[in-house]
Amino acid sequence: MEAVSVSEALGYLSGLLASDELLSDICIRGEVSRSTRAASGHSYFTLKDQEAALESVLFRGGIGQEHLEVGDEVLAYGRLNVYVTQGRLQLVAEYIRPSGAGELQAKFEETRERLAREGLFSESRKRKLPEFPTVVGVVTSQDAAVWLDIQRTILSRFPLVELVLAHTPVQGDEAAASIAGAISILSSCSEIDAIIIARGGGSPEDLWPFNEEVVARAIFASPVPVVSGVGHETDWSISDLVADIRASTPTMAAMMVTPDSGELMNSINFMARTMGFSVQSGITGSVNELKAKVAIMRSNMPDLSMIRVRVDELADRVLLGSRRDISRATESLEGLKNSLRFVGPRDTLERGYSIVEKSVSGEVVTDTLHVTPGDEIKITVSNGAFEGEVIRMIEDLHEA
Amino acid sequence: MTSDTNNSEITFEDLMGQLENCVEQLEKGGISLEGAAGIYEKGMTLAAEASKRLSEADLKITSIQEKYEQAIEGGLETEGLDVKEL
Repeated sequence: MEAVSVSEALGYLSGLLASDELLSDICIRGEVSRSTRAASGHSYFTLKDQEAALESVLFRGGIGQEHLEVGDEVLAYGRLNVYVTQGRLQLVAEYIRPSGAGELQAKFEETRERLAREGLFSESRKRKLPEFPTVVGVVTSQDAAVWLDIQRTILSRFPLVELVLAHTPVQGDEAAASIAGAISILSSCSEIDAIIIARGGGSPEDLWPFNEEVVARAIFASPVPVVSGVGHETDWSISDLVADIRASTPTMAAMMVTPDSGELMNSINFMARTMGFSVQSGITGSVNELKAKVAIMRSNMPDLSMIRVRVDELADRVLLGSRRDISRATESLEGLKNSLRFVGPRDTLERGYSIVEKSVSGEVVTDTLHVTPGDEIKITVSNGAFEGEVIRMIEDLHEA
Repeated sequence: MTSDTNNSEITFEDLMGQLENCVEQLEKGGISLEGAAGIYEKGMTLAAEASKRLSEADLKITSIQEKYEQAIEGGLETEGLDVKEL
């Protein structure tokens, strides 16, 4: 075999590469892992995926230099050649654009606009989550860490809930239809109060099933509220837009669906204390009311000591009055006595009058007709009596 | 004590609803002392039951397949969806 120089060998390889239809006009997808821009204006960068790396250059004047940020997923259009000076394979790129920024982004925008026009994202149809869910459906992959995160979160917050897992692949071609089916099946289960659809972070392509129309329509058709927790905080999907509530992460979705037991315990204790205070203040109120009534009753009771004084006073007045009346009566009596004495027979007899009675009958003689001559009569004077006889009748005094 | 608070079938939501109702009634006042004592007793039983449920609960996890098997055993309609599609 005839020996060739290094230059010849690499020159030969360069020729092969240049004449290959695919390698001379290629589009390579990869992540930018290193990127430097030389003073000359050329950009040197490395494209890589999980298993391989490729040194690349975008010469000054090439398109899309601004997309060469480390970590960016890009599509690089150009040709492969050999940098003979260092014996290194490299991609000479002419045009760089973000991966997925084209078709996927356009598709996302188109779907978003169309579904928005149909009213799938309308705020007015967003439903509230139940305060205390009983059964929560979860649409995710049972093999992913997300499923464990959701279980852990709900166990620590509100373990009263029952979780129903509808396992589904969450990336790949089959994922969208499967996710939509899982949502439909869960939402047809009458016991389920709310549904979480969840997936961990990933590339835009990985998260793409959650931008598919079939998933959006399944969420929209769900009779129970749906919480979407897809990817990281910065990722927005069509699912997030159509869901009743968008959670920034799957863990956050689990938190939004459940109340916190600790807070609930505090609230229960607070309510118990409030009830105690209410009853206590009710009792205090009743006691005060009772006291007030007793006080009113007391104030309305007659004062016995005052009555006693009044009775004494009245009794004195009665006694005084009686005494006065008695003395007045005594005086009257004396007067009457005197009057009686004055008109009485004794005083009259003493003044010289006498009483004449018929001796036989004792009848007092007040008329001349009562006697006839010969009648025996008794004559009473002031100090005694004597008897006599009517001798003769004398003329009538009135006629005389 | 009313019979419904003794019922283990009562949901946590109903428990909390009834408890809030007791608190409201007592706060509003205008009830006799005997009435208030009854409501207080009911409220405290509800609060104890709610706390007990929270502290004793253990997360229950089922798969939708199990759920549907239960539903089919129970004679419920599954709206013609095929679980095996999942």
